[in-house]
Amino acid sequence: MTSYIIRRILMGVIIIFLVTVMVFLFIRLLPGDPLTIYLNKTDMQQLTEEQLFELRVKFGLEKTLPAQYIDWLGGLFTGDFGRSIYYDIDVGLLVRERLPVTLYLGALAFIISGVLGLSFGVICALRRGTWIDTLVTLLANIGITMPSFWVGIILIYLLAVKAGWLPVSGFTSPFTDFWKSTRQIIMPVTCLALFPIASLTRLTRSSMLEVIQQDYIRTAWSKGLRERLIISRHTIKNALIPVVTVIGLQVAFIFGGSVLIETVFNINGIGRLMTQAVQNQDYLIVQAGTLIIAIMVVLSNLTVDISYGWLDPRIRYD
Amino acid sequence: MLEKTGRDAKPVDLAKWSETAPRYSETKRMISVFAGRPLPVIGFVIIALLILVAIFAPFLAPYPPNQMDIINKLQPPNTTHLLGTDSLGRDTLSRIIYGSRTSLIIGISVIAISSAVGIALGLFAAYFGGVIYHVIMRFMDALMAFPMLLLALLVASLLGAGMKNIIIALGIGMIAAPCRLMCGVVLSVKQNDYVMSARAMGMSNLRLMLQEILPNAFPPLLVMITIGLGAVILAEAGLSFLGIGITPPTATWGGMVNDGYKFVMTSPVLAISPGIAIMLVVFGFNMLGDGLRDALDPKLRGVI
Repeated sequence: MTSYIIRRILMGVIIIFLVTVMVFLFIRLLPGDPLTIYLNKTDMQQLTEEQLFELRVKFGLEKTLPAQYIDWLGGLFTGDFGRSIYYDIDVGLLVRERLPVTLYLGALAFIISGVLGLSFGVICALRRGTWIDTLVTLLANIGITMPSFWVGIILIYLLAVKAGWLPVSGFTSPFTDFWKSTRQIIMPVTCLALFPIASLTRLTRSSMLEVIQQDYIRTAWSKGLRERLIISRHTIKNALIPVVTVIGLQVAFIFGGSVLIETVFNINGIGRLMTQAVQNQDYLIVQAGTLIIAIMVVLSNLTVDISYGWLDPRIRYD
Repeated sequence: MLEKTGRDAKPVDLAKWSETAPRYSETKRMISVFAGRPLPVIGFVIIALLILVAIFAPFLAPYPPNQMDIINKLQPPNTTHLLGTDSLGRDTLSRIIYGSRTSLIIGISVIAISSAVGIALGLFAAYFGGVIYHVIMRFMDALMAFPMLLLALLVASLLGAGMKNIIIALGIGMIAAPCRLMCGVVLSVKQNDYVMSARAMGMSNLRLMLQEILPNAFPPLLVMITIGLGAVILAEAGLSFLGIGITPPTATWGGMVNDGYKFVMTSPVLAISPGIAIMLVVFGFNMLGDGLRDALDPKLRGVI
């Protein structure tokens, strides 16, 4: 087990290294003057060639790419993400201010989708062919097709505009006003959780149905075990193995969805910050946001992998 | 291959066996599995309709998609404009019909590019193994860590909006899945005796990969491509909704939802109707994919 954990952590480190390389190269290798990362395009037009050259030297852009990468990575370790050209403040500061909002909404959506998705899937599989199964499976099939931003707009129209039950948009910290905050996040969290709930339901259901057909389940029945024990210990535990592997994908999906949902609901999280940064051509913010989210996805995958090896002993001896 | 066991067993006459027709046709079984249940058929019909609508858009749309009519802006659904008009007086139904072209073109190009690159990388990684395998697969792991929408946002922010750049942006995000799938199939297939015999016969690496290994991956790839098309259309809608996708005035469903969002209080149909189009199409691709998976899965023979 220890060697498995060490191997996984090493792999995680390699993947994080590659993630940083990719984010760095994306910004540097695509067409355009790399100076636009640090300067406004309109400002640049007013400068002379010498001034531009001086700025290039100042930002280290005359060095080779690997040297630039090392400079950049060194900066990251000290928390230096550069300076936003649009807001003219430290990118690290901006990100630190916006990230908790996204993490809070994302974590809630993640927990809710895990609990509901797994329960729905198990219920459907155990009641296969009944009206509950048909209904929930149909809803899950519809749930994976709905664009989350569109669901958000419909919820706003129905629950906020027509019924007036919930505030239209915005975000308040739960520490300032818990009740107001909770009312505000109901719709965004629902939108974020919708797709993961639906896809986890589908996956759990099909995985359960596969396990139910296995010989060891028949053996368990013929041994005369109680139904509850067969379902909990023999079926669900084995059926969850393929489900756990996609949890990392769910994390990535929720982060991706937050870009859209934060725009719909006017929430100042990192997703909205990045969308606005794209429009403002504030590349360093896009770079920092992408990097941080990708690293968090890698870390959650790593956690899943390690717990997975603990759940399923076969994995450790790969 | 022996008919009887024991002393007087005779080998079966193989020539006779190979000449008799198989007891049933595999294709027929696949079609009956696929067509025997309602959801795959519904999916197939939706996608067939989508393709027809996209091809014949100029004949089906009551108005040109970008024809403005400011006097009749923001009309509710009525007999002249079945789904009403938007803030510039453009006919919503016509724009939805033309939007099918955008979705389909982007979906097909993204899947074509990402599958070609992904399949090639996966094939090479698993076939050659060793360092090549580790380098390619770790890069794919890193690629998987980026939420597709964020990756597209990053690429689109650098390249700018527009059809070609959106295809590149989404295409990069979609490489990892076919690569991993291909890699898994090759790793399991390359142990088989027929691969070894082909190699013993002196078949070149490239030919071996294309002729002996690639066809084995065809069923799961087909399913992945079908479902992937729905995912790409959904992602493109998201990008266009954020205003980073296709440049206006080209009709896109995501962009239309965004336009309609501003008028959700007064004319909700503007935002709702293109969303339903997205949903129907993604639902169609998903059901088609599920149906294909069941039809192509040899393990399910006789179960369904």
